[in-house]
Amino acid sequence: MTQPELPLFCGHDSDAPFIWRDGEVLSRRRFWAQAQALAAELPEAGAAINLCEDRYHFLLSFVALLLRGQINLLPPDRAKHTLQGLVEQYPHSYCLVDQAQPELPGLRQWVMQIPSEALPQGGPIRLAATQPVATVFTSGSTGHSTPQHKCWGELYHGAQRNRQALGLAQGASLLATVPAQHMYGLETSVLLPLVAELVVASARPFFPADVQRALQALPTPRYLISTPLHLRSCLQSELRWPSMAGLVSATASLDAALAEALEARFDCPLHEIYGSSETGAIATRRRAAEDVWRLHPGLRLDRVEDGWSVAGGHLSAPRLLSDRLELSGEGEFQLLGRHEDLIKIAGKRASLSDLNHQLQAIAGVEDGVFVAPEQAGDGGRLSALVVAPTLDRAAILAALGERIDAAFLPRPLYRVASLPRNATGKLPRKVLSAFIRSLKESVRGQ
Amino acid sequence: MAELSALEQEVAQLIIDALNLEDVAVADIEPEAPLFRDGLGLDSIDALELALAISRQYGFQLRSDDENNAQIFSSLRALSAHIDQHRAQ
Repeated sequence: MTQPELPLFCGHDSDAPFIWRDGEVLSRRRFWAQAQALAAELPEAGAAINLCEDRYHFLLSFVALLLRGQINLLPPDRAKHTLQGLVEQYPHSYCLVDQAQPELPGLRQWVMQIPSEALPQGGPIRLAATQPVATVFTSGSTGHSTPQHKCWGELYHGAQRNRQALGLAQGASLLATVPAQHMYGLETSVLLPLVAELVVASARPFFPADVQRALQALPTPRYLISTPLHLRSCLQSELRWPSMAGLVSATASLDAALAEALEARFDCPLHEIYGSSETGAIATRRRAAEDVWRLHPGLRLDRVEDGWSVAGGHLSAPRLLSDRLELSGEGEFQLLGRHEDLIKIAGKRASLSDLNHQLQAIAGVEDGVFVAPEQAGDGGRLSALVVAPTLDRAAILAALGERIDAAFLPRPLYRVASLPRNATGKLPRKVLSAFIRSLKESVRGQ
Repeated sequence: MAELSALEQEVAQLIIDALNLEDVAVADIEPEAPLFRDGLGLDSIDALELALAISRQYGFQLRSDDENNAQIFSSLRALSAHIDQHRAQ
């Protein structure tokens, strides 16, 4: 049987818009010519760590790597120890960067330059559905990340289902606040323009005023692809927003009141995506109107030993889910939350027991514990109680910063004489919460 | 300890309140020390929270392309100076 092949790019000879960059629109034809020229310039390697932050650079290099049969390695962050770990795993790889990064000495860097366009155009290219194209790394609390290998068929079909599930009109404009290296950002801001005829903005705005300005520069219909963290800050900024066709949110569940307020402020529907680095997007819901998630067509959920797995649809094999859920109808489910030990902050996952282990392993720390925020979801940070008579706050944070991702650094960090451990050495949640409340009151009382 | 101006004290308190840094006192914040990475060790989530608190208290929005953002957030003193220049009168 011949392998099914799928297009790498749609519209290689079309003058239709592909990307907005600095107020200028670039056509699909021009992008395709540039990507082919770039492919000819890349060094020999089996894989490259794609660190491009400019979305146009990322798109060009993503495609150029595929044309050369090189894997895109997409790290969860750009911390030095993360990248060094990757280079150890992939010794023949190099880093693709927007500009030379002097703070990353010892790493082989290849600085992205947009090639001149005076090159002959190639025809359309198709890739085998099974061709490996990217490796996404799930963020762990310790910097040890697990690779998730993505083949072209999975990304291609995932993008088509995403477009349908979100009801995105072909030719509509997308603005994303999420990085292209994250699975959610890859599926939306990279795959949708490549294979589903959406037009993306090169910008990755940060502050609400940046988001507002970048949206105003795009033609209608336009969509904002973002996270609860950014959407909440846009809502609270009290800026005036241009007319929108839709908002899309992922990485953490939105609460219904926030979703309603966002729909009212932006005067458009807000769709949430549920997925993971392992699975990509697998379900959507309109939070302001429903709390059940609808599985994307073709997927099914199966009960496995201590949870659920998802299979079918765009997936080449069944994948485990890290959330607990309950089926509530044909292709519909409700999320019941994570396994107790798992926490998620700013789209990054960690295990509390692992974080505690990292804290307790610091020289000078006699005892310590991380405490999850009372309210799960977006925005909340961990706090920590630490017994370390010889270390000050800054020293503890500096030592932690070398061991764990910055998103998990505690706010606040209380230095205490001892932890309220019970007779069996455990720290029941209730006791911990009461202990922290008393600490807060004593701080205020000073 | 270095002397803080009235505005610097106010901004230091704003940072502590906006970011739940209950374990830090105004007097602990070195005016010239970096707010991010070392020093207070803030990150991008904190930058969003802080931008919001600043827009509420001082009536203007931070932008990435305004100036060098790294400069604005480089220390309590630099942030206070930026606020002083841009706040709504």
